[in-house]
Order: sequence, then structure tokens, then C-alpha cells
Amino acid sequence: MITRWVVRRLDDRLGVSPALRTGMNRVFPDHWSFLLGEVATYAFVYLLLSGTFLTFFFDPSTVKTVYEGGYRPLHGAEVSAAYASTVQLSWDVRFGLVVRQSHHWAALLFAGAVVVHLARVFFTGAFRRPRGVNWAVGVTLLLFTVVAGFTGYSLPDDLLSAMGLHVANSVLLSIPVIGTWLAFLVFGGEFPGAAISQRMYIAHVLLVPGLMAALIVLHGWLVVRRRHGQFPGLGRTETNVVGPRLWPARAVRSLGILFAVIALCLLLGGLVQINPVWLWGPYEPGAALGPAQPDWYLGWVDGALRLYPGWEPILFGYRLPNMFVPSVLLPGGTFLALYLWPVLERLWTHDRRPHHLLDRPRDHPVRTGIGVMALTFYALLLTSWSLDVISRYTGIPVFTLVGVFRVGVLTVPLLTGAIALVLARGLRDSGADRLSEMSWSGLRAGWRRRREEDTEVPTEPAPVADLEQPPAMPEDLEPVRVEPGPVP
Amino acid sequence: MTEPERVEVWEEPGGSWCWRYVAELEEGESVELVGNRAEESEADALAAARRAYPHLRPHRTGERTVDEGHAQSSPTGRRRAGAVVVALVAVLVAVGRPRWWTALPAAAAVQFAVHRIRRTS
Repeated sequence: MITRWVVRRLDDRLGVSPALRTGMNRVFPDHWSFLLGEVATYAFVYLLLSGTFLTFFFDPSTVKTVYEGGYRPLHGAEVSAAYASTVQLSWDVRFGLVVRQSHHWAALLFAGAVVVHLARVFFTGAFRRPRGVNWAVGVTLLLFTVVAGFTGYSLPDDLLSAMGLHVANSVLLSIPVIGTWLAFLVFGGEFPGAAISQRMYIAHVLLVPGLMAALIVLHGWLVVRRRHGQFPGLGRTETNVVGPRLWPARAVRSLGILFAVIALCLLLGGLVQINPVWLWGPYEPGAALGPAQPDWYLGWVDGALRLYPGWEPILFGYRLPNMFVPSVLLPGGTFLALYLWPVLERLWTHDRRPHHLLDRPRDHPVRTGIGVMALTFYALLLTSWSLDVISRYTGIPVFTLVGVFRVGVLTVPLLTGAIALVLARGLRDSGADRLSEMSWSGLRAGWRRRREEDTEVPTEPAPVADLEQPPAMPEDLEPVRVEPGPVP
Repeated sequence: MTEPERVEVWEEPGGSWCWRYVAELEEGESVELVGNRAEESEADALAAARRAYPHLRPHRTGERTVDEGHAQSSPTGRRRAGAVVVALVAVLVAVGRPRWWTALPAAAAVQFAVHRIRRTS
């Protein structure tokens, strides 16, 4: 009764109840895979909270200081203030190590959730009209995730992170014509320079998170505005949106995910050691560490660098440095392909209609095949990131592994992509619900079709008249309510 | 004979109009999906139902199946009952311990309950 009285008095003054009621009654489609975006959002929330705690104790300066903290082996060593404060934060600040490690784990979880969420959107065709802009926002978020992660783990000024900065400097230098200027601009002079630490700190704690927060808000607003896609099913059409209301079903579940994500980060931060910088030691220009790997979301670039042969062709009178293709062209091409994919698919299928019903991967075998091919390619590059570790544990010489992976990274994706294409076609044409239910005749039909047809014709080509009509706006979708229940 | 899929529209006691999608499954079970909002008129409810299920023709029914629990215990009724219970407790406390700091809240609670009953009846 008191709560009602307070809420009513507050609403008299703020007048938000109509908007709040509309928001709470809004229906959202339900599926477990739709929760991946929420996992990413809540990992970001935890990153902001834990990052704020870390800023109270971290000093980004590279000014030399004598370490006098609780880690005895470093006593009396002259290290940078950034390194000293990171070790102090880990050893002397109460709860500091847990927060620092959980912050790092949350970054890995955030990047993982973003990638898996992106894969779900890709394989279900959720990037098609009218959600093309939101796809671009999501890809930009992935790009910022990588930037935020790299600037974050480079901050402590330990030997491992400085090696990463060294690679970054070399990558910039490898860009023809503008490379040296760009490296000077970013590092503020010759590597390592005194300015980079402060610049990375501002980028990591202010610039990139601010942009990411704005993009996450925009992403969520576009989901509400353009409506969330839904899987086909009984009572679900292109003109309605079926799901439980935001309150209480979705809101309570979402709160549960928030607590679960925070609990997982703290659990990992408390129990599983990550990046023990006191073991790596402070940065010294003449020293290196091995085996050394960056965080996984940059591991595929590192893997490509390890596999790329020592070719340095001369183009238009300029030498193309060895690092340029694997570390500039490959990531640049990857993100360009991601941005352009909705346009490319539209050009290929001539399907310009808005879609509110999602595809199952089988519904679009070519897309599924390309997606599986790409995932295999990047997974193999990511594996190549740890060839030195694999060599250490298996006894196989590193150069043998490099040779095998050079061949594998070009051939295995073609194989897995073709298998995915045939299986998707077989599943679609046989009508089997699961892979285990598909018969050999269904599989053969998928294979034969692949041999007979070089190009895939869209199953439902858009009539010409449809192209001239404006697409149905998401506001026209009729909301249909289901009672709260377990996640389908 | 009932159709495997149908859309029904009906009028609520308060004058609003609702609609629902019903699909009969093979095992004798059925799926029921209710329009998320009540409409002001039958025409609005029919239009909403047609927009959601353009391939089905809505039928008007007299049946009322949505929010039945609502009438049994409406928010207004619950508020009124809550105010009376609080007033009764306050009066009992005031009778048991007759002091100024028990009498004043009891009087206020009784006044509030009377006000609530008058306003909602």
C-alpha cells in the first residue's frame, strides 16, 4: 500500500505511467538464442562496474618508480608506475585481484557473446530488411570490442602486453605509404614512446566504452523500434509478433541473466587465474616472452601472422611488407564482408522484402555453407595462434605444424562449407526435423541437387509489384501474447 | 466441427473487445494466443485480428475466456479490502493500547478506508 502511494505520488509529478505501462506490456518473441545479446549487454555492464573500481587504483603513467608492494620477488625493481600499480592492485588491494581478473574474464565473455550472437543473427537471416542498420551497429560493436580489449590488456605495461604493442606498431608500419606516419601519429613518436600509455588509457576507460554504450543503447532501441524477429511456428506470421510480455516474464528472466553473468565473472575471477603480470615481469625493450598469445578475439589475426609465408611483393614500386596481408588486409576484409553481407545477399537473392520470420539455417543452404566455411577458417586461424603451445605438448616441430595449418586453413573450410551446404539442402528437401532423422535418400537428394544446380534460386522470389510497394513497417505488426513459461 | 485454426473476437463485460488465435492440435490439445491489447470497438478488434492472421477469417463469439481471474479479484476490490484490513488492525491496536500514538493512526486508517470505499463503490 505504501509502495502504491509512493508510486502514485511520483507518477503525479513525473507522468511516466502511460509510457511505462506500454513498455511493460510490450511482447517480445522468445527463444533461448535471443538471450545471447542480453548476456553480452550484462557482461558489458559488469565491465563498466569492475572497470570503475580498477580506475581507483590504476596509474597509467610510464614514469619509472621503485616497486615496494607485497610481491617480494619484485621488491626494489625499477618499473613503470602502470606496472607497479597493476601488481599492487593484484597483491595489496583488498578484492583487487578478484576484480581485475573478473574484469578480464568479463571482456572475454563479452566478446564471445557478441560473436555467438552475431552468428545467430547471420544463420537465421535476422540481418535482412528492416534490420540492416542494426546489423551494421552490431558489427561496429564487435569492432569496438576488439579495440577495447586490446587497449585494456595493453595497459599494465608488462612484458606480454608490450610485445602486443610491438606487434601493433609493426602492423601500422606495414601499411604502404602512410604506415610510418600513422605509427608516429598513434604512438606519438618512436616506439614505445611516452604518450601511448595515456592515450590507450583514455581510449580504454572513456572513448571506446562511451561509444560502445551509445551503440548498445542504439542497438536496443532499434530492436524495440524495428521489432525482434521470431522463429516460424504455430500462430506466427510475417504480420504479427508472438511472445510473452516484457513484464513480468522477460524482465524477471533478464534480471536472472544479469545476476548469472555477474556471478560467472566473479567466480572465474576468484578461481581461475588470468594474466598474472607479476610472472611476466615489466616491459624491457630487449626481452621477449614465449609462448605468448593475445586474447582470443585477436588470436585469429595472430594465427594468420604465424601462418602467412614470407612473401613481400613489390606493387606500384612499393614493397608490400610481410605483415600487411594477414594483419591489415585480412581483418579489414573480414569486417568489410560483415558490413556488406546484407547487401551482397540481397543482390544475390533479389529478395528485398522485409522479413519478420527468421530462417532456420537449412532454409538458406548457401548462406549456411558460407557461414560454416567462414567459421572453420577463423577457427583454424585461432588454433594457429597457439602452434607453439601445441608443439610443446605434442612434440611435433612448429614448422611441421605451420605447414599443415597453411594447407588446412585453405582446404578444410571448403570441405566443411560443402558438407554444411549438402546437409542443409538435404534437411530442407526431406523435411526431417533433425539431422538424426534424415534418411540417406534425403542426403543423396541434397548432394544431387548440389551437382545439378550451380546457383541457388530463392525459394520465393519477390513479385515485381512488391518491390514498388513500401515494406510493411514493424509498427504494423500485431502483438500477440503468450503466457509466461519456460524458454523455448 | 471446429476448424484446426481459427480467430475469435468477443466483447468483454467492460465494453472492450478482444481477440484470440486458436489452433487445435492432433492430440486433442490446443494452442491459444491472445491479442496483446483490448480494442475499443469490434471493428478495431477485427482489424487487429486480420492484421495478425491475414489468412484466417475472424469469428465473433460470446465466450469470455481471457482475464477471468480479473473479475474475481480486481485491483480495485483488492485495494478496498486492503484498506479495510489495515483500518481494522489499527482500531484493534488502538483499543488494546489506548494512547494518542495508536488512536491517531487508527482514526487516519479508518478515514482512509471510508474514503476508499466511497470512491470505488
